[in-house]
Amino acid sequence: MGDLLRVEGLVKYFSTDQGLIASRLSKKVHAVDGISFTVRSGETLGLVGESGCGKSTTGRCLIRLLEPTAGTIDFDGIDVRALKGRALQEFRRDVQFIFQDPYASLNPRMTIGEIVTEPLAVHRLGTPQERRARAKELLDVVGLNPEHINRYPHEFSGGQRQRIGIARSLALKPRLVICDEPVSALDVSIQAQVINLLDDLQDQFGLTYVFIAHDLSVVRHISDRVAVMYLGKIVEVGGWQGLYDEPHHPYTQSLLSAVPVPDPAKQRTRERIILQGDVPSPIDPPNGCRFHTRCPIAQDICHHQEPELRQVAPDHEAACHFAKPFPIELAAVAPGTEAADAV
Amino acid sequence: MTREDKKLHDVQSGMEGPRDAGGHPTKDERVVGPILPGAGEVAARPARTLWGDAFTRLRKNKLAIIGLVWVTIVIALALSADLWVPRFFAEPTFTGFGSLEAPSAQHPFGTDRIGRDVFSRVVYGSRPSLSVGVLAVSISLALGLILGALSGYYGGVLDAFIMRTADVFFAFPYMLFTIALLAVLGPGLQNVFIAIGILGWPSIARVFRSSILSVKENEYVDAARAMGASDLRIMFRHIMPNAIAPIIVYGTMSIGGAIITEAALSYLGMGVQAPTPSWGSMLSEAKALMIPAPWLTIWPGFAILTTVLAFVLMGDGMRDALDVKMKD
Repeated sequence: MGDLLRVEGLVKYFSTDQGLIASRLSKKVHAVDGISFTVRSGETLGLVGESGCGKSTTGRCLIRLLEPTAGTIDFDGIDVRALKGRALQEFRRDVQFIFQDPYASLNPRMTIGEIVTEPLAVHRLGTPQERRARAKELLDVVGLNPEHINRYPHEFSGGQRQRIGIARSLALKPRLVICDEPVSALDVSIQAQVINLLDDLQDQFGLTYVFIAHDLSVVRHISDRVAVMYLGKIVEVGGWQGLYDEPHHPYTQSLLSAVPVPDPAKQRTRERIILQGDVPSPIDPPNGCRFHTRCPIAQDICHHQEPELRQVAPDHEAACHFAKPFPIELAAVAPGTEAADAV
Repeated sequence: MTREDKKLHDVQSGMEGPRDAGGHPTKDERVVGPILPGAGEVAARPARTLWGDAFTRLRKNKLAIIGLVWVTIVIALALSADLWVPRFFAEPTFTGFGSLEAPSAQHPFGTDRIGRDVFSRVVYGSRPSLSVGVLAVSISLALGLILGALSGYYGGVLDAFIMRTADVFFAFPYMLFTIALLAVLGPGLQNVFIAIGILGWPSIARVFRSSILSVKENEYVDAARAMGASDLRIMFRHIMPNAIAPIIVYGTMSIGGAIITEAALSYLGMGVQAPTPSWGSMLSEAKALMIPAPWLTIWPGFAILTTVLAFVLMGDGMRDALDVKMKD
């Protein structure tokens, strides 16, 4: 299958100060600092990382909710950053977004029917009756009762609201859907239902997903390929099987070792990589490899030379000078300190 | 699907294509079961509007209803005065009665110094008060909403300019500024509308701006932008309806404020001119006779007090009623 989305050197800096002059002089938050990836048609790319690593910023740049500072975004041969006017509207039909917070992403003053039909109204598709009929179909597709079309969002639970958001994103029959942590605001029991729904919809409508999450186990279920981000960079990317079975980057390895194992005996005895310290500030990211301040296997070279993504296995790249399969040497890890944040 | 294919598949085609004919029974059971308990038992219900819902909630607030009823009575009296006052009471400007008569069956509120019926003057005095309240606040609303919306939605230099202008307005003592404006425009009811209206916009613009600033951070605004909605659509469909509640409350309450300002201006002789009655000018005329003829101050004062209070109570009730998240 061909590439549907190709991102090359995407950069997004935010100013720390406002105002015409101050914003140019102030320090920049390096939210996304030169990332490249491709998404093939029909597949799901999982984008994983800690809070603040730039994954949501990446998602918002992809649909031009934020204007990237540099880089190219190529969607099916279209230069997304250059789009204007009608062409941008066409693009917005093809690419939809599912938001993280099901409480904030639905307008409380609009009925479910109005919310789901709004994309059609914006793009002037169909008559009001046809839109309404379509909204009922969509509600049915996402597993909601079409009779509830006249209700307001506050009458629904979080999981139901997320389904409404999904129905809205499907109204225009998009080809690419960016899911920005669509389940992280939901109860664990509801998470699985929503993920299954997204999975079913992908099969049904041939959707391509960019699935942003901070939970590796969530991403594992839905992704074909996974990209791991750290401080605005992609540190490792590859097919999920390879990445989960043989993570090459020490950061990915530490993330995976933080995922609990559903077996108490194994859970107690298994080795965990515990990261030291906090994520450095993206205002002033470390020189060389960004991970060297917390990396258990960092050497001199990591302090001044930034590693590029390089192939470590078929369909598997890692950005580490010492990339090698799990498990890494744990000699450098100080014992008995606080647990790494379960990411 | 290629781009061209997609355009052919329009809304009309619905979703039959990709969906299997028999539906998706197993998936539906798995997905719907636990989170839609008794989905079937909830019947479809008619579309309810924002205002319909708000009215249902408003009805449960006794104080707000008292306010609403009083405002309705005052408006009804003001509008219908010409129909019944001349028949049963004297014209408000007729001077043929005895001077300073105490309240009686013929003159329920007594008469004033030059023999005019106070009751009919209080009834007619509601006209300038109400029209100032409504018209002046409409002018403030029109200016304040537009400027506040521009300021809050676009931000940047425009926002700075509008807000600094508002600060300049705030820097002047309100009453002094009104009087100065009237001194330029000349006294009279029409100029009172304009003066109060022009001076009222900064607070409305500020309230609306801050309300918009908080509303536009919501993800549903991003969602609308991501689907390609125009600025106007985002403003009117998504931001306005969610940002307007404080304005309705503030607007209702400032009607009360405008009535007080009109009374004060008329009291100072800058507003409604004699012999047309207004509550403020009646108080002004009565100020020397407060002890010998208290009815001259009590009744117009009572009218101002209750009417302003009624508007404030109504505004307060609306604030609660317009909150969609409140349980009904």
